[in-house]
Order: sequence, then structure tokens, then C-alpha cells
Amino acid sequence: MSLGLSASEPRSRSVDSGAPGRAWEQLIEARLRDSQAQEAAWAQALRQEARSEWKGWPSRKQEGWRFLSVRTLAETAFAEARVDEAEAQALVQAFESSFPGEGEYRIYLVGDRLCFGEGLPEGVALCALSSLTQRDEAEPTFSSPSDSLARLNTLLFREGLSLQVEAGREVALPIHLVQLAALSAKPLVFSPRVRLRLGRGTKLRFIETHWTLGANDENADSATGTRLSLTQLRNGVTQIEVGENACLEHFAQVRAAEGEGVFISTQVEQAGQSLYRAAHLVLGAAPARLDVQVRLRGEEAECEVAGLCAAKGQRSSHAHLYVEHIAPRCRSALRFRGIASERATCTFDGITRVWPAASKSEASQESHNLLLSEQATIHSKPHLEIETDEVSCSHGSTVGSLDEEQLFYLASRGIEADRARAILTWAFAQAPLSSASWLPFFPKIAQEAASFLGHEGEESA
Amino acid sequence: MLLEIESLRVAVEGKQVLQGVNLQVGLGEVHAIMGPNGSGKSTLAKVLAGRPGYEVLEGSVRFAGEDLLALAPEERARAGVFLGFQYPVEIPGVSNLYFLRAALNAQRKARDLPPLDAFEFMKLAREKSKLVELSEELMKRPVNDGFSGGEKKRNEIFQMALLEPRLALLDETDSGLDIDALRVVSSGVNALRSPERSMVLITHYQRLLQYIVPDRVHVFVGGRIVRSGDASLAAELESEGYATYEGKASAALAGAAL
Repeated sequence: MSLGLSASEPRSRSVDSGAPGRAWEQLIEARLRDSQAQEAAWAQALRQEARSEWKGWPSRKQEGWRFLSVRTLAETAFAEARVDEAEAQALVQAFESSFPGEGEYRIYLVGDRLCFGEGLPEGVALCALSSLTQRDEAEPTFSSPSDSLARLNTLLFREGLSLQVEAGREVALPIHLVQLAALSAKPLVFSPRVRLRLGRGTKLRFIETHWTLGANDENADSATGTRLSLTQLRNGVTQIEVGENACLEHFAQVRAAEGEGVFISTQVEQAGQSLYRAAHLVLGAAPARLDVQVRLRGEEAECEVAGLCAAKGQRSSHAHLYVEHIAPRCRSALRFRGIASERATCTFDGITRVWPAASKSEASQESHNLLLSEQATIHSKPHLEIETDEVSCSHGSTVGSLDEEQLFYLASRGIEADRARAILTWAFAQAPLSSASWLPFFPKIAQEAASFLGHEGEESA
Repeated sequence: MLLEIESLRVAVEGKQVLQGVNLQVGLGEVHAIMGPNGSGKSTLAKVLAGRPGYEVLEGSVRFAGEDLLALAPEERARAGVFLGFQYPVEIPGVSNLYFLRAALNAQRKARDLPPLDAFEFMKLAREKSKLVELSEELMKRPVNDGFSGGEKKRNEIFQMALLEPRLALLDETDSGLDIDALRVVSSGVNALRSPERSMVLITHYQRLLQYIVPDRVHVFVGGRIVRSGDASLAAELESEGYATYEGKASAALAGAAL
């Protein structure tokens, strides 16, 4: 299928080297003018607030940005991504040919176009963010040490999704939001925004896919030793409220193409006795950064956030987690695994903060990492900030290579070295994914992740 | 001869562990290598299977006429060498059946045989698992993960049954087994005895040899074979121990050093 765009097209960057960052300021100003002319009062107010808080792109000196330089992004002149109807249709068709979408309700967000069909489960209200009239339905309530890019999203987002589940509803059908893009020839920025609210006593399974067509051609960048030029930026924000006694299972995956930067910020707020269980799959970009913030505001709320961050070639995957125990008797568990091969970088930066009032908190962080090459880099930094007594907290972090004894065991049974390495790498990768086995297309996701990691087996290990 | 070891000297981290091993194993024969802890008998098994980290200083090993030491570990396995591990390795995240099917199909490929599909393999695995009374649940679990000592050893013999090697090196397969597990493992091994298959049992105790009667017994002390005999030698060792041989071996070594 030809979309008139090709990943192999030569790219040029128009960088105004005389005034780095000037292009971003122009983009923001243009968007604010648009907003004043067209948008509802709440959106205008929201953007004005973000404008006063936006201090420009973060530098490596800032907490939470030590492991990732965004200078190239800051100095690149990006244009806002707009997609026409035909292009959106073509992308949706291309995606559906590999993921037919059975066993789920699917919503597409392509550039600034939102499309969805019949069959929305009962008790679920869905609308475009731009159609909201009340400010309190879309207002962000978060502020974290590293949310510069979330602010940029607030300044720039053009369209998004608002999804609400009414109290007491247990939604059987998973809801899948697919955010699609094709790799463009000139630098484009996407700023998708998602608002998800689960009422009291609800249950929902929510899937988010950030997919760029051509994402499977990741071999192109592994061979070149040069620094990647950025051609596309996805800067998404997903805000989630989990009501009292509600349960949300969340799976989010990022499949980016070469030369694409991906920043996804997920902000979760939990009421009493709610459960949030998430699994993230990030297979690298240039760079891919995941920010997950969870605020446990109600007593006995519980969250489990698992993730697999893998990267190869020149790519990188960064996971930054920030969990706040605000109310007493909450539980949180972060379980991440990182795999870096070739010249790639993976980061785990986890902070769990237990507030003074949050007595009897239980918090754990685990970060296990696999280094598959001497040129690869792993940063693993679990961190607990505890401001009260009577808590049970633990954290663990490991970085290692493949186990020689295991490799020999496989070899001693006749399995060749490359295959043995792939089998063990895939075995290491599976733990964080296992919590997403409810996915309607889990075998396909697992197979693609396995294949990314070099495991070409005909079935899951 | 299926296996011919000549004057094999091997060092680990600069320390010589095998001091000139000579051993010949004919097709269909079962040999037992008995010796005290630290005598180097496990090293011999690992060197034959190709474990990295061993330096061959001198000597040769021929397997079915081929230079075994020139082959990578996976090539040795495909040629028909099987090592039953003293401490079977746990591999969380890889199911036993997946692992074994990958192994069997890798070996079949090397012999120009078509791969077995999941269904054919499962049928074969069920049949072989009966030999060592391995439950279907254990077959499907991650490799040795959370297995008891006895279950791990049964799993080793199960693997041997599936892979049908020409030479099985069973390294302390009896260690850590209670009497029931020992009976199950031994009957599995006995069932796999065949004129087409040779076995080398490496053990500290004579106990295993009450269940599996070997054709030849070798006393292994100080990094080499100091005496060989028939099955009755095992009983003799049980009553007299290794002390007399150890004295001789260190005297011999001292002599060699001079």
C-alpha cells in the first residue's frame, strides 16, 4: 500500500541554528492563537496555565533527564502533524490488515482525527476531547519533577479522546485505542491526549497502541554508526482516574519507526480500594520515553505497573516511574525489565514516595536488566522516599548478561549458540508481559516482541 | 570403540585437574567411574560435553572415530553425546517441552530428518515421560524451575530418553536422591540400555550400581584412572573406601613432580 510516504526517503532537517528552540516557540504561539479563536473557555484556560509553566525543553542537569538528551529535539523545527481523511483511512486499513481487531472495541486516533464505529459497550461514554464543554472533565491534576513534555502536550494537543465508564459497570469487551502515524519526510509533531475516567465500582480493560507504519524495519538503523536524525515526534499524554473500588487493566505498547522520538506520559489517580494493573511494552525509538505517574489518593488502593523496555541498534527505551502513596494502607509494585543490545540504551528510573500520612504502605520496585553487548548501556535507579514509619518497602535492581551455565545447558542438548541466546533473552523478557496475557491478540504481540529480540521460534517459549 | 580417551590432561584456571586419563568405551557398554570428591571425575564429564572454561593441555578424545574436542558443545550433542548434569540448570521462562522440542529438532536437522511438529512431539514426550514417571505438569513447567532434586534428575533422564544419545555421560545422577527416586531414575536408565548406546556413570557411591550393573568399573583418583575391573570392584570399594588409592595417587604425583 502506498501512502505517498516512505521510511527510506531521504530526510532533511530545517534547523534554525541561529536561534535554537525558536521554532518551538513559534509553534506554541501559533497554537495559542488558534485556541483563542476557536476553542472552548476551559481549553483556553488550560493552555494559558501551561504556557506560564512551560520553561522550554529540559536539560540533562534536570532531575529525571540525566540519562537522555533532548537537544536534537529542542533544536529541530517541527511542524504540527495534520492528516487528511484519505491518509487516515489508508493507515487504518494497513493496521487492520495485521491486527483485525476481533474481541475488542477499537478507536483510532490518526493525527488529529478520531474515528470509531458502532458497538461501543454499554455504560461507556466516548467523545472527542474538543467537544467537551466543561473544564473539569479534561483538566490535568498532575505535577511531577519531569513533566515538561506533558506541558508541551497541553500546549499543542489538537484532538484527543475522552472515555468515561459509568459507575457500577463491568465492561467485558476490552477497549483499544490505536494511535497511528506514517513516518513523514519532514519533522512532524503529534500531541495526542487521552482522558479516561472509571466511575465507582467499574471494571475495564484498556489497550493503547502507539504504532508507526514501517516500525518493523528496525534493521536500517542498527548498521549505521551515525547519530540518528529525528523525523517525527509523538508526545502523548494519557490521564486516568480510577474511581473507588474500580479496577483497570491497562496495556500500552509503543512500536516506533527509525528516527522517531516517542514520549508517552501516563498519569493515574486512584481512589480508595481501586486497582490499577498495567503492562508497558516499549521496543525502542530515538528515543522512546515512558513516564508513568500514579497517585494513590484513597485508602487501600493498589497498583502494579510492569514493563518491558528493550532497544537495539542506536535506539533507546527509558522508563520513568513516579508513584505517590498519599493515603494509608496502599500497595504499589513496579516490575520492569530492560534489554539493551548493540549500541542501545535502556533506563529504569523509579521513584516511590510515601507521604507522612500514608502509614502501613507496601511498596516494591524491581528492575532487572540484560546487557547483550559491550557497547550497550543500562541505567537502573530504583529509589524510595519514605516519610513515615510503619511501612513495608523493598527495591531490587540487577544488571547482567546471559547466564553461561544456562547457555551451556542449551548447547549441551544440541541447540546452537545464537538460538540459545535468543531463547534465553526471550525468557528474560516474558515476565513483565505475562500480566497482559488477557490481550485479545496477545500471541501476536508476544511473537512480535520475540522476533524483535531475535527469537524466531515458531511458538512462544 | 565408541569413545577413546588418550592421555587427557586438562587444567581449570591454571590448575591441572585431569592428569592423563585413558579410557575406552565400546558400543553398548556401561562403565562406572567411581572416585572421591574433588578427584576430577565430574571435570572429565564436562570436558567431554564441551563446557567452556577448561583447557586441554594434552591428549585426545575420539568419538566414533571423530575428534570430539574439535567440536562445539552443540555439535557434540548432535553427534550423540549427552551429559546428564550433576546440578541441572534452572531456566525460568522457558518451558521444558519447548526447550526439548527445540533441542530434538536441532539434532534431527543435523541428521537430515524433518522436524517434529508440536503434536508429534507431544506424543513422543508423553511416551518417554512414563519411563521416569514424570508428570505432564512437570513436562510443561519452565526447565527445572522449582523442581525438587529428584525431579531434576528424572528430568535429565527424560531428556536422555527423548534425545536418544549414543553416549550418555551421567554425572552423579544418584546424588541427592532418596531411595524411591533412585529406583525410578535407575529403572529409567536401565530401560535405555541398548547395544546401540554406551553409558558412563560417574558416582561417588556404590549405591547406584546396585540398580544399574556396569560392565566395567574404574577407580578415579587424583585426576586419573588408577584401577579398572568388573562390577565386583564397586563392592570392594564400598567396603574399603578410596583411602588406599588416594595415598598411592599422591605418592605417584609427588614422584611425578620430582
